[in-house]
Amino acid sequence: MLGVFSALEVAASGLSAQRVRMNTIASNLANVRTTRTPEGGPYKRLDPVFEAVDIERLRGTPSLSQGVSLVQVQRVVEDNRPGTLVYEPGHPDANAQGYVEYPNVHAVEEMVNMITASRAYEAGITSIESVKQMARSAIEIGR
Amino acid sequence: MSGIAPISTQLAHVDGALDGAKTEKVHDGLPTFGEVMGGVVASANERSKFAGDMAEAFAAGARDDIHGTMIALSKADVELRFVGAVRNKVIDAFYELWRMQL
Repeated sequence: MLGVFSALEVAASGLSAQRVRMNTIASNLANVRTTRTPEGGPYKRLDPVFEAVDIERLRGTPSLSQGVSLVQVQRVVEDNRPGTLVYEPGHPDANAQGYVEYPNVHAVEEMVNMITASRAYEAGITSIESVKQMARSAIEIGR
Repeated sequence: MSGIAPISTQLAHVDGALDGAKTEKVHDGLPTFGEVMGGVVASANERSKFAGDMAEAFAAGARDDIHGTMIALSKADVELRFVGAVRNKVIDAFYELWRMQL
């Protein structure tokens, strides 16, 4: 059965997911000009993949609340779009033709993702506040 | 003098009857108010202890889950308010009985 605090759990999973997203965005922005990685080649843009997990299935107790889902970060994938080639013959990572492959990170795109991530986080906080307020109002009934 | 003894034995009978009533009440399967309240207080205490531990771990840098910590604190807060509300309600009821004219 869903308790008073289940909505808090659901919202908290959303907050965690958005935080993971924010981490990948920060990583992408930090590595916007990184041309070397342990795997070789330029840095590849990271993107988290989210997955809905039925809250009741997670606990193994079927009830009326079907469809209420937590969000989980299933995995973080690399974006395989090609990077931008820039002619810089003096660069140590330039290829035979003098071109350096920079990461496939686009600062503007990351900024937009950052705005959506922080707005989604705020939305989660707002729902938590509402749940808390509802609980407090319910307690007020007795006064 | 001779009449007193029978009265005390009768009182003993009354006491016995009261004891019987009391044990009967305890055995009707329902927890007493004290038990219920004790359980609720214990649960609220457990939750606020958990929240305190989380806040401590967060302050010490052992975890970086800001929202998880704050949610645990909020849960503890709501539960404590609930216990307080129930307690106030019961005290009100008690005074209502206290003021009753007999």
